[in-house]
Amino acid sequence: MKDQRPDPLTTEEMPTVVRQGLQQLRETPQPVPASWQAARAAFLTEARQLASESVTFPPAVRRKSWVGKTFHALIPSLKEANPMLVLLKIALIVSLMAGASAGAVTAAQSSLPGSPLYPVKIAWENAQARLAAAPEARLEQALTLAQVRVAEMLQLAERGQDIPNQTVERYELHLNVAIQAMGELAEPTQTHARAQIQEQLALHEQILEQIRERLQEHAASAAPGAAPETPLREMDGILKRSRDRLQAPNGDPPTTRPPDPQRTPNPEAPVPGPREPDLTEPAPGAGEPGGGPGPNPTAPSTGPGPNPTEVAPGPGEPGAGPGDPTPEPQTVEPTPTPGEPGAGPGEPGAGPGPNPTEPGPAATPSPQHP
Amino acid sequence: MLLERIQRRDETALAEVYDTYAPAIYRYAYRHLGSPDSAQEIVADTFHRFLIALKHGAGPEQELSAWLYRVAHNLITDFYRRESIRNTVEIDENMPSRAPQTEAAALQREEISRVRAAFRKLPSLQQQVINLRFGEGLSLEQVAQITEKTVGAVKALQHRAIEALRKILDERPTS
Repeated sequence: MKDQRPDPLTTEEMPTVVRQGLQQLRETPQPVPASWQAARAAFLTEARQLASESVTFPPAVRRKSWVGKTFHALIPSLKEANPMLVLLKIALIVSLMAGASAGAVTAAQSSLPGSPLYPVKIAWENAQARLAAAPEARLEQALTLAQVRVAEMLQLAERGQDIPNQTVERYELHLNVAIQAMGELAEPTQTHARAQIQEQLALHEQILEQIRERLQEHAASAAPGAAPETPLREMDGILKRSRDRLQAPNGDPPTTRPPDPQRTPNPEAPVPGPREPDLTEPAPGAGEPGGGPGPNPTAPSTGPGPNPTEVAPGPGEPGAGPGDPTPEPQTVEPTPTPGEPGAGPGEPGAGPGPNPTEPGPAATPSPQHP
Repeated sequence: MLLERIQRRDETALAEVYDTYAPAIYRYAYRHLGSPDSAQEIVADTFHRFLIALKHGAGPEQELSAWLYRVAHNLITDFYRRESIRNTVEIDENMPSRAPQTEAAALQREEISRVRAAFRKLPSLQQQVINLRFGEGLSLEQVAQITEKTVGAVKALQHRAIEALRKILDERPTS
């Protein structure tokens, strides 16, 4: 959108003190490259997943009421739908209408392990996983979630926080689900999927190096020589095992597992076989939800949980909440509704505007959020 | 047309959108929040919303960047409210950086903090106009499109914001 026009900061009349201040405000530091790369990869994975889906309803449908849209998106064709899936989706609608905290789910998407909202994020992911039935969908979703876990680890490392074992375990679970889903695919899709997973593993390995550096930096400043290496060694082992499985036809686990002295330092200890993707147990962390039905696509789960991949945007629907500029009552609306206060010089907004679905603090209503 | 390719969910077009607009959204969010981590969260959330909107057949229909800036601004507003970001940001900005601090660098950090504090005292819409006009260097017409105001309204907002900033920045900092 930026063009070749003269820079307003130099051309507009304003006091010098303001010009200097705005000049300072303009400067922004570059984000950490690894973190930026991880975020980009996560977006592209999600975009790829979107690209692989077919467009299910024409633009005309968008003009229906939100109820119509919701049902249409959730149950596009009752004739073709899996009855259990339909029941689950209906349960999701009911739970949403019953007041499931859409705002909390939205807010939780950027939360990190240890955050109060993180359990919501995990529950949300589990609900999504339950609805992914086809191997292609499970593969894409598992890879996206694996990427999310790695990004979380990097963010924790950048903040000097330890990486919880549960996060590592979840990462392994996602990879196992992805590899198993790959094994269910027919050729040549399977070969493509195999390459996709290998590409992701290579990216994760790069990010793991960044994580290692960050953790070492923080550990060196806190207690020299005390870098928390255990989760990283575990991650090394997971990457290695996943690569080994990818070598096998259909992603089958190897019958004999190569020794991994870092993972099993005690040679007497029984070496557990490669972890099968236990889809009924998403390995929830302490205090995290998700101990209920896991991402078993065939399980007729009754566990409520919003489905961001299917639910059409409607009031309180988290996936299309903040920022969806459709003129529906949502958490945040870029498109102002008629009667918007403060359009023009009389703008009264002082600070953030209230979110219509959340009781905000006593702030003056922002014109952006009627 | 990029928008048409996006509506077709062309993966290359989606990557192009990210590479083109994510840095601008990051800068925009950073100026508001003063925290690289928070700014990156806003970027991730904005583009997540973008994909969700596409999935539902919604999303930008005319000006992509305006749509993204609007979503980002709404997320920033939510972010302020949700996490009491003003306190968090102050902590972030006062944290010692890894680089050795010279006196000049420390003074500069202090000055930036003062400017950002002044910026945050402005009403939300004035912040948006100042950020887009003088942070991103956008034209009045572009800012009007993003904020969905008239050009005249944007000019008025800009004028009032500059005047308010002058008053705040002219005040002697209390030690």
